[in-house]
Amino acid sequence: MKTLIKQFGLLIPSLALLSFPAVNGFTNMINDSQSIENRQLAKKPEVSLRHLDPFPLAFEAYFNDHFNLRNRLVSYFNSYKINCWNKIPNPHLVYLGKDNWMFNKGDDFELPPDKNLLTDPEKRIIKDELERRAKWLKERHCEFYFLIAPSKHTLYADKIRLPGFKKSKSSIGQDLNKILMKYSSVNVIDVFSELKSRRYVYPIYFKYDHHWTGQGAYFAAEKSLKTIHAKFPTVNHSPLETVIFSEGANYIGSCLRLIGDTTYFKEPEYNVTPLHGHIAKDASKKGYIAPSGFPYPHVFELVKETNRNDLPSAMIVSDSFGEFIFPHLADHFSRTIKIYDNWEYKLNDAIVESEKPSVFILVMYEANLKKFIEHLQNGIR
Amino acid sequence: MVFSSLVFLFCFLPITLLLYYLLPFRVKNYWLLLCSLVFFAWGGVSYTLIILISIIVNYFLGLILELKRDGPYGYYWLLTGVIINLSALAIFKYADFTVNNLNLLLEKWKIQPLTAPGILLPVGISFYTFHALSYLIDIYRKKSDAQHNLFDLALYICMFSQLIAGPIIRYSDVWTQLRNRHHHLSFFVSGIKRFLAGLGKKVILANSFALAADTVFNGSLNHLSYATAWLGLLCYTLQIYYDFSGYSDMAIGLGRMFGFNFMENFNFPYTAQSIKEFWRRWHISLSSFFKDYVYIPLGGNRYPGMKTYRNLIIVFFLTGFWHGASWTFVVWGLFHGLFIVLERSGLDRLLHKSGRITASLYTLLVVMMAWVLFRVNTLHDALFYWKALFSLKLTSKDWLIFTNHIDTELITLLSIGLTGALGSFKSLHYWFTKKVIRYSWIKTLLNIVSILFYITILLLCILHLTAGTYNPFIYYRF
Repeated sequence: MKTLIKQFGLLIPSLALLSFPAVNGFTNMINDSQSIENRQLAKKPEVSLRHLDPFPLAFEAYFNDHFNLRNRLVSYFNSYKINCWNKIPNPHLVYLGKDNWMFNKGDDFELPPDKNLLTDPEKRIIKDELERRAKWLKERHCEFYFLIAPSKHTLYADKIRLPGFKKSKSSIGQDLNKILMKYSSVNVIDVFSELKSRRYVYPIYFKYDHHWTGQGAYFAAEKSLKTIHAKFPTVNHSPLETVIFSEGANYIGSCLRLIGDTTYFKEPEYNVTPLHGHIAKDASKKGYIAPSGFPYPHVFELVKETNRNDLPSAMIVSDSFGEFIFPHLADHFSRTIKIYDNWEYKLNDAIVESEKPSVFILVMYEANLKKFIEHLQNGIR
Repeated sequence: MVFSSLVFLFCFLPITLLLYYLLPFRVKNYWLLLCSLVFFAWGGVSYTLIILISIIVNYFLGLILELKRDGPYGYYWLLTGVIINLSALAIFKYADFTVNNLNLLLEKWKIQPLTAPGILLPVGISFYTFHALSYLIDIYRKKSDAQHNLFDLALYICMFSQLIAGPIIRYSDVWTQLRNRHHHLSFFVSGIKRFLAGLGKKVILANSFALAADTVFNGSLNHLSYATAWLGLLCYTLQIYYDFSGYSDMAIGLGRMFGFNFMENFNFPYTAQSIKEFWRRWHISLSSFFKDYVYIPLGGNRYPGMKTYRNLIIVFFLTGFWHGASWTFVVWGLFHGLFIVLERSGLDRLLHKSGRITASLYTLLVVMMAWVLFRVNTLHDALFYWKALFSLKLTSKDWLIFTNHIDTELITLLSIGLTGALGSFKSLHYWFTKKVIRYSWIKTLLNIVSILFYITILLLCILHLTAGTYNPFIYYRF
């Protein structure tokens, strides 16, 4: 018995473990869970005697991506890391702050917000471009508005334990807004103070995603509508008493996708709906062509319409922050078209000429301001 | 392909093992050779040609050496073989380094610089070249006969288990095993245990230490506080030990699974009480290779004084250069050589008198200082790092940065890593087997615990490796 334990006790379980994925691949005894990894998995490489050199790497990538029970094992690993070490996997991608607030790590996360401001020449580049766009639109009887969606780490800097974040007084977006409001004629929708004052009253940003929630977007939309109302008196807003705050289904945020967790950290969608529902309904798209390489062509163009012809029409050019704000804004215009232009933030003049909107809103994620300057310097306007 | 990859563990290894044991003995070596060539080709299919040429050239050189070793030209045939093998190593490993350094001189003389050939390093060339050298030298020294079977020689030179990271196997140690080895279940199981121990060292310990060390070493070195610098260095000291010794354990374990008995490569080097002792415990196969094939032929310590020091410096220069084509490796080797010379000149007597703890601390300090050279990219970076280690400034911001580097997992792994590297687990095991186990039921219980321990290691490694393949699209903005 002792010899049996000594000799087979390790041999059999080890061989069983090493052969299990292959056996399970044939028998499907255990099903794998759904992948939340937002990328195209490697394809099976073809063997070609002329191009043998790249084959091993390509095969290994394919083998790793399609490893039996991979998603389940990734999920188990996450549970192990979180439960045993109170630590998130992939800490190089996601920062775990106080009270489990998660922040995507990116170039803009390297420095505290007030140490990452634009230089004067950079601010001038943006100011000149926005003024150019405002002028061009004005010639077409359209009013231009600029809205910077704050980065999560600007609003929740106190949740970050890194040096300098907690005491950060300003941010790249706040600083730019200040300059634009003081020295330019561009209509700025400044949502920073609006959102900052409500950040712990309402769940305005997701804990496990870098976006604002439906509730955060509602407050940003309210501020936008109040600003637009000054020049378009028919445009009203939806005060708090006219809307319902609710929690929706489980939301798998960008941070959770980066760490591959679907089981441990959970939070709902935070929605805001008007008491009698949204007035604006989805309308047919005109079929504007999405830029090549844009990974989400199905949401390049979204259109909503109300049957209030007395209201002005609007065009929104935005990044993913436009998704939640779009329905709130659309309720207050006759027709609203939203263009998600591959994070290029162009004027999209051909669409403007075709749509002839009265209001044009550029919604830009604060972390993308530097990217916007790069685009402008590369002639993408 | 590396041992700590899913494709090796779940595809290559099971297929290789299964067919190895299903095939009759006479074809086992052919099968192992085929698998080794596939393993080699995984790092670059076209490079297989280089190893095949090396095998064929060394096969004929071995046959000639066997015939000529007693004659007047035997030495010259050996020299030819050594030059051919080292030339291949020089071309593939050191060509870029040589051209880049030559260009520095040419720049000074205002001569048009040469274009670096940009040759990619073939997998395991440093190891299989030394296998080939050992083969030729052992034949010349009559420690073994030439291998008349080309396939067996090929298997010795490129067997996958020790192809990437050693140990460097001497031909005289394994040539009988190539034709005549036994396959026992208990030996196979001990191979599994050794392999799993190595896999755990690499995947669970070394990779975790690497993450922490990389964060420190890849950051801005001139703004490092001493606390963070020491943490980074400690992590790297443990990373390199567990990475390398883990690979050696896996190689020894794999060898056992196929019936081979390879030499040990590490023996708790961080417990050494002098640099001389450190090299008797660290990468033993390499240090003994240099001792037997370079140091002793140069004269060793037969002529005390300057000649011995010269021989030691040559050996450590070569040791450093063998590790990588960069001045940091050369200086790393010379740094060790310098302390060996100092010890020979009287420091060892002083250390002996100062007691075990002082001697151990001295050794560890020298070894760690040398690891800085091994890890950084330039000598300039090494100076910055050393400066940071001994700077006395620690602001509250520095402390915050330091605390951001550490967490419960790292502290736990560092404790396990340090305890293991200092041999405490071995002492505990010795104490158990000698003092505690008097009853058979305790033995059985310990066997079960040991099995559960290895299975847990395997499970954790599988989780770590699978999680490592999770590579989300970072362009996450939607």
